[in-house]
Amino acid sequence: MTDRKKEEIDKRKQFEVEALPHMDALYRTALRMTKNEKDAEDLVQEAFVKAYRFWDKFEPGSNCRAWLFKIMTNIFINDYRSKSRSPMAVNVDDIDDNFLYGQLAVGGKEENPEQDLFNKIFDDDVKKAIENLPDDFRLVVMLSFLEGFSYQEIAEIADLQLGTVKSRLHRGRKLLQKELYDYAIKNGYVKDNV
Amino acid sequence: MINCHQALSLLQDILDKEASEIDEKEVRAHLERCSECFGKFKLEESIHAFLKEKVKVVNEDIKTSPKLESLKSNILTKLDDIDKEDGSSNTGFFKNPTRLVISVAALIVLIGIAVFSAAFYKHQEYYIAIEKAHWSVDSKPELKLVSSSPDDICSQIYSTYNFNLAEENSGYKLVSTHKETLQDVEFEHLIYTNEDEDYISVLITDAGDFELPPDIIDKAQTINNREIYDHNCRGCRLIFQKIGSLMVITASTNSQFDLMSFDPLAQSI
Ligand SMILES: [Zn+2]
Ligand SMILES: [Zn+2]
Repeated sequence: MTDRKKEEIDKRKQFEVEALPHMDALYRTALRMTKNEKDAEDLVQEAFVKAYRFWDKFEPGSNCRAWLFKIMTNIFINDYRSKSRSPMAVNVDDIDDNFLYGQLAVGGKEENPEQDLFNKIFDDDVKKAIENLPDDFRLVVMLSFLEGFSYQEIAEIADLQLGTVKSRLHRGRKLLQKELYDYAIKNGYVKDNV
Repeated sequence: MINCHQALSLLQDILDKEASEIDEKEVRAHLERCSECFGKFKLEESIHAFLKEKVKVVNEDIKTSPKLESLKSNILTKLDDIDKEDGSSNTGFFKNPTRLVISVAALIVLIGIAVFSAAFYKHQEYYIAIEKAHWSVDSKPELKLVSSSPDDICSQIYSTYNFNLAEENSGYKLVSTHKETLQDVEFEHLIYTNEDEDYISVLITDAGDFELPPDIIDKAQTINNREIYDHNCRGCRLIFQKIGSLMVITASTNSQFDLMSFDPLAQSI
């Protein structure tokens, strides 16, 4: 066997052992980002193809999962975002930071007023609320909540300043809370205190 | 000891387990003294736990999705193709010059480290309002595009404030302006962007209407007849400059950019 051939087999083996096991996680985030299975599959495939081509740039021992997410996020931002971008910019600034606290504290006799609300929120409501987040917010929320990346890792994956990661995460949280609270009101799970 | 405001500004870091040990200790000590903050933290912590759990649960079904098997085999087929391609041609991937350029560019993108200064968090209302105004541009992409000609903006600012605005500085170009009211003071909010899509906010108002935050009021440096006040804390940098009768505040999304070198005043020739 030639050296070159052997090198290639090693590369392939290494890639299958180190990179491929992260496919489920990549697909999960891809699905939430693109909101449809076809695009999510294409996105993950593209990410793996690119990662394989650039495999010798991956530093052995460093965080392979973060590296793969960075590649995928890059492709998503450049090639997929415009397709699925919601045209209406959401104004997050008018949500008070203590919005939910204000809402729940008004009724205020029970020990844990929020538990009552939580018990009535369905998984589907949460899914919808996540999908309704603007792309930029959804990305950081998924990377933090679902994938457990640190602020610093998210900054590197999404090529953002640390301050931007924090502010998007903060605003993403507030939007999620507001959206879920609105569902609860709409479906009569809780009474509007306003 | 920290106050309520400082405690709340650390709330997110604590929820995400990103706060330093010292900060967390300070906050926990504050919560023991302050029932208002205690209530807020308790609620936020339980919402956080709930949301995090739910986000996990709603994504559980993907684990068992039959799609994953076919996706994996598709990927393996693609890898086979690449292996064949590389094996049959003598020009390996990095022997091709354009591919080399692309991969070097990708590598540069991979290297990007944000600086996190550990200065103590001390935030007055004003800083928060200004920072918010600055970062909110991020979610309004239209503000980062050229709206009217920079020339028109400059002459408009000149006629309102008698201020000779720079159209371009340090690679940043003036793209838009809008009015913004922060803490009852009206500001002109100018946006400059550069090729890396960083942006700088320049907020202008009458110095008479604006009260400097108390913690920097006695920290002026005088450079070129300007009083300059530098607020620099944990990833948030704001420079206040008193130029003539105006207060001019600058902030940048790029924490590594030397904000002092950005002069919003046009250089007279
Ligand atoms: Zn307090
Ligand atoms: Zn600050």
